[in-house]
Amino acid sequence: MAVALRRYSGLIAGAGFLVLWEVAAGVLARSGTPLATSKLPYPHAVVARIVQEAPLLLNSLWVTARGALIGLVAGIVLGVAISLLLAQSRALEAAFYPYVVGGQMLPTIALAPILLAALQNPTLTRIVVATYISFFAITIGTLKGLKSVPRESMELMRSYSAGRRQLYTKLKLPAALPFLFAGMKVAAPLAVVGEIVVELTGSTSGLGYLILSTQYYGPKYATLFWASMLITLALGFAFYRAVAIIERIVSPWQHEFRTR
Amino acid sequence: MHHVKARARALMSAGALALVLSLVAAACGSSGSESTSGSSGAPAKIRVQLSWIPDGQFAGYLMARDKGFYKAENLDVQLLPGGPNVNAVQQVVTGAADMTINKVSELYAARDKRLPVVSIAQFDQRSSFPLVAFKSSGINGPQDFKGKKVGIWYGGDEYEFFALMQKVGLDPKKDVQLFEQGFTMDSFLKHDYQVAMVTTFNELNVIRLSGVSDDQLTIVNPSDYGISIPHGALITNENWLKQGGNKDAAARFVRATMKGWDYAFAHVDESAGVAAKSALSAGGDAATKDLTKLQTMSINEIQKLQYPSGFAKDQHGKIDPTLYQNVADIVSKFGLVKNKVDVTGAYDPSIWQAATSGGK
Repeated sequence: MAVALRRYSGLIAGAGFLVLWEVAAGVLARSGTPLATSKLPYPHAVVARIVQEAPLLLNSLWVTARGALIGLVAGIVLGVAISLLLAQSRALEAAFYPYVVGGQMLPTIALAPILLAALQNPTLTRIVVATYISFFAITIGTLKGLKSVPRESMELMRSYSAGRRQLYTKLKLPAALPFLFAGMKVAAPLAVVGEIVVELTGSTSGLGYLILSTQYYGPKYATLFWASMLITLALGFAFYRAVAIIERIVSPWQHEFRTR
Repeated sequence: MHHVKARARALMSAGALALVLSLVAAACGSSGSESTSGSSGAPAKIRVQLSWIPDGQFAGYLMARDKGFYKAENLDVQLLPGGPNVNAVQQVVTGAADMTINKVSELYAARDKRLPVVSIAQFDQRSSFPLVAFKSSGINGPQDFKGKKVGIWYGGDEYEFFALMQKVGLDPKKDVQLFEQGFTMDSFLKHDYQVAMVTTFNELNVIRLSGVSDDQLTIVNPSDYGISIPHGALITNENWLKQGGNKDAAARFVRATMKGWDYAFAHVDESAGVAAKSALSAGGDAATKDLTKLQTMSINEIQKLQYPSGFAKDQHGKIDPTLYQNVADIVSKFGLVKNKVDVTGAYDPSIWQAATSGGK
């Protein structure tokens, strides 16, 4: 019983949230607030809209998921490459690490239109921004992981006269994997955010675009707006879950996965 | 029991992985790229930066594209979508686009910063940014805005309002409570504030469609007070225009666009359908059907901007020097520009002339 409860606790919390939302929307609608249903529409109305507009939403979901995924994969490649580079020497790390951090301080929302103007291609811009926003967590995580190897392990490897290559493939990279995945779990939903930011600015497809246009055409589109928001949320969550699942496959030896 | 669970988990994992992989594969496969051509005979490529998402307010361009009017003029026209963070004029300055559609005031503001932009056609003859208020709030004209909460847009849209206020003897900085409104009309409809800036081609119709009749509203169009900063200026880059063959291409573009607008006005329902579909990223039958009503109203309102009552039909798209002088006066008075406006340098009348004389 307790196991079942724990297993489904997420679902139960979600259902509870929906019930609360439904009640809150009902209270607001009854309070006589003008346009209550556009302020906070009923969740059942949002679900009905999702069913009604399934082709549009699926099409938008596909566009956003595709861009975010390519961006995330590129961000992972870039992030791992940068961290491998910075791990080579303390001087390199000292020289470039502050800029990696600093680069993340640039507001993406301001960067997106400039990149769009420079690249002149909305699809490419989305991917670049998703990459840019996701590589940071990967870099930080992997770099920490590469440096997390205990001194004794290093010494052991050296005593076996392991080469640089062996040192990385047999010790450092496997040790860094949990950190890489921790970074990826942060980066995956962020990639969706990056994609959405560009879609909000000068594109005509994707969930972000729908979030924008459904605000523009009046209260009638409020449920479609919330539908797009919910699907975006679900997409971010799905990205996170996908990383967690891949982690289990790739690094099953991790402590937290062992059956107790 | 454990085996079943383990297998289910493995299956789920494999499924998720397959999904991810197929996404990657599909994404890589479907990347399309277009090539440019500069050789004679090949269609001239023109990229148009829209100032907002491609809906009814750009119906003329959408229809000229969809009906093949651009193609018939040997043009390959790409309509680039705008958005809240896209500076349309800037896109033309940087060369990310060849043309844009914007307010005449934006043309002057850019030229004031020595940016090489020039207007080659003017479609709207009136202001498309009126102010609305519920009559129930005791507002029957702009003079009644005194002491009221007024939501406007900034970033260039405010100057027309300032000029209007001054015209009726009010100080826009002291006599009204100004604030920057969002781009939904929800707060106005909830009576959170009394006066809202709207566009005739969208927000005004959103208000109408939410069950408010025109009888309940006071609609103040600045143009009726001799104040007018119209949108619909076709702005291009002077340097682009100078390059070989581009003047001719621009004239062909203007001609095809005029044809597109006239087609849209003559076939409002069809064009509204195209606009609605374009606005909702070409999907969603139910939403498109619903939006078509709003787009129909939008296109009908734009017709009133481009062909106001008493307007000579053969002047469609022509730049009216008086109108441009009027805008120059407003922007100078309210500090949008620092230097004296060179009105005649801001537009090139030869393109519209070439577009309307001879040709096809």
